[in-house]
Amino acid sequence: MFLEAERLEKKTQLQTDVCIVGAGAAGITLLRALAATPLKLLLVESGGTSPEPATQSLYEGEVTGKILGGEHRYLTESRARYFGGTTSRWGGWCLPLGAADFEKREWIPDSGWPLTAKEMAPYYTRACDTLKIPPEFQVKSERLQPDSAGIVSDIYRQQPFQFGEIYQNDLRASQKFSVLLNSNVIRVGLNEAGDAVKELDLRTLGGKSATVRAKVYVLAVGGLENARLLLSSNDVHKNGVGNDKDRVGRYFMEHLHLTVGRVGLVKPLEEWEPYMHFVKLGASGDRLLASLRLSDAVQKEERCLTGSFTLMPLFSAFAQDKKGHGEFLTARFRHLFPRPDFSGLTQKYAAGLEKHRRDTALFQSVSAVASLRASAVLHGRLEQSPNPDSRVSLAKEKDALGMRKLRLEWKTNELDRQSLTKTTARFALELGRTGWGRVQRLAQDFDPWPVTGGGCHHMGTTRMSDSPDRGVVDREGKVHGVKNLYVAGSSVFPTSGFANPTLTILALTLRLADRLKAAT
Amino acid sequence: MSLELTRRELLIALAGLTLGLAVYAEKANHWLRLGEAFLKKYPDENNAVRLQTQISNEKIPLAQRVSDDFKNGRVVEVEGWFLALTEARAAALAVLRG
Repeated sequence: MFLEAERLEKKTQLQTDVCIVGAGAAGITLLRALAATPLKLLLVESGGTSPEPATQSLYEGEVTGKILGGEHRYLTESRARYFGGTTSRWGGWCLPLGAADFEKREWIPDSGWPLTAKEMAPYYTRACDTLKIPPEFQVKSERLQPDSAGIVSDIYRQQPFQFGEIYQNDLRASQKFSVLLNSNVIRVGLNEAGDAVKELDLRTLGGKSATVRAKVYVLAVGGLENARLLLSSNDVHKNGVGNDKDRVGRYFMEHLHLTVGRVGLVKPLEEWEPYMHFVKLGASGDRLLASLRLSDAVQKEERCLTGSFTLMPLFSAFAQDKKGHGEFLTARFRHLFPRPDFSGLTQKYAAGLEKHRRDTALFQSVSAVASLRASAVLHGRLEQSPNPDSRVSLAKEKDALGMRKLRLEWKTNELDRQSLTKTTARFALELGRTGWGRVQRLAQDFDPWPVTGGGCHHMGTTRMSDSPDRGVVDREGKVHGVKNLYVAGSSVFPTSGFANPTLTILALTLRLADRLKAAT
Repeated sequence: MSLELTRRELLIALAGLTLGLAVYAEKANHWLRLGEAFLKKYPDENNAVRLQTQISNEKIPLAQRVSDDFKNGRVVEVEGWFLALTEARAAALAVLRG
C-alpha cells in the first residue's frame, strides 16, 4: 500500500521489521524479494510517483575537479528522485561483471571483491529473471568476430526496465508492506553506544517530521546519496555513520566514456553491425550488442584496467552533439575526414614497381593486407581505478530539508591514464595481428586527459571489504561496526569493471535479501 | 532511344570523373602523408635503396611480413595510426620514389 508522508500525524513514529530507504532498482527489488516473508516491511521514498522539480532539486550540490568541475547539473541530471529511481532514465544495458573483475589484480591498488564470480553467478541468474531476460551472455553467431588470444567479445542485452512504472500498481495494491512517498530520510540515528541504528528521522518538503524504528535498516538511495546520508548522520560519531576509518564517500568511480580514436576496417562496415548497435543475434534472435576488449591475460600482461570498445559510424558520432561529444569530435577529428584507405599506397606505388616483376607481387600483397574499406569511431567504456582521492563529501550549503549538500570531486589518476594509453596501443596491435584493421588514436599518451564524461554510473563510495580498514560494508552489505544497518546499490562496488552496473546491483540486492531472510 | 550524350549528361559524367580523380588523389595523398610523417619521425629510414631491399628482398610474402610485424610487436605509430613497420616503410618508399 502507498502512504503519503504529508498526511502523517505530527511526530508519527512508524514501527517495522525492515525499513528500506529508496525506491530505485535496489530498494524495490529488495522489497519484492522479502515480500513473501512474515517480516513487516516499509519502503521510504523521497519522491512521489512522478518527477517533481522541488524534490529533484534536493540532488543539487557542488561538483569540483578537473573532469567535471563546475558541471553541477551532473548531480541532478544523472539521477531521478521519485518512485522507480534512476531506472526511469536507464538505457537497459545488461552485462555481468567478468570473473577477473572480482579478483585481486595486484597491479591495481584496492582491487578485489570479497565475493567471487562463482558466488555471484546464481544471483546474476535471478537478476536476469527479475528483468525478464535470458541469463545467457555467450552467443554463437557468424556475425561475431571469433575470439583471439588478445581480443574477446562480450555480449550486452538490453532491457530498459523502468521499475517505477512496472511495479507501481502491484506494490500499491499489496497489503503486505507499505511504501511511504514524499518522505526524506535526513538522519540515521544511532544508539548511545554507536553500534546500532535506533531510528531514522524523516522530513517532508511540506515540513512534516516523523521517525521510523525497525529491526533492520537498508540504505538504497543511490551511489552518491548513500554516502551523503552516512556522512550527514554525525551526531554520535563526528565523522558520520560507519566512517571511523574515513572510508565513506571515498573511491568514487565512474565508467570513463570517451572516443579513443578511429578504426579502419578491412571488412565493410555492415559486417561490424553487431559492434555498433543492438541487432538480432544467435539462434534466439534476441537483440544484442557486442563489444570488444583485451583478454584477461593481455590485461594482466599490460598491467592495465579493463575496458571495452564499440564502434560508431562517423555520422552517428557527430549526431551525438547534444551530449557534447560532437563538439569534442569536431575538434579532434577535423584532420581525419579523409577516409583512410590504404589501397592508395598500391595505386601511387604501382608506377614505380612496373619495372620489377617481383615488386608487382608486393603491390598485390599490400593491397590484400591493408585495404581498409570502412572507418568508424572507436568508443571506449573503461574501468576507473579505485582512488581514495576521488570522493563525495559534504558542502557547507544546506538543502531545503536542512541537510548539507553533496560535494563531488571526481578524480582519475596515473593508472587510469596509463591504462587508456596501453589499452589503445595494444588494441591496435591486436587488430593488426588479427588482420581486422588499423587503429588511429586521438592523441599521444592521452595528455591532456580526454575524458569529459561518464556513464552516469556512480560507484564505490561505500565500498565492500572484509576489513573495516579498507571498506565501509562487509561482504553481506552490512556497515562495519553497526549491527543492523545495510547498504544496497552500486556504492558498495569495490571495483567497477566496465559493465553497466544495474544487473550487478540487482544480483547483490537479491543476495542481501537471502541473508536478511536467514538472519531475521 | 538516342545514344548521343546530352549536355546535361556530359556535365554529370565530367563531374563524376572529377570526383573520382579527387578521391583517387586523396587516397594517394593520405598514404604519402603517412610516408612523409614516418620519415620525419624516423630519419634513419630515409634511404630508398635500403627500404627497397627491406621490403622486397625477402622470400616471405609481404602480407605475411606485415602480419608477423604485428605478432612480434614491430609496430610504429605514425600520425596516430599504428602500422606494421613493413607497411610504414612501404609508404616511405612511395614518398622517396616520388
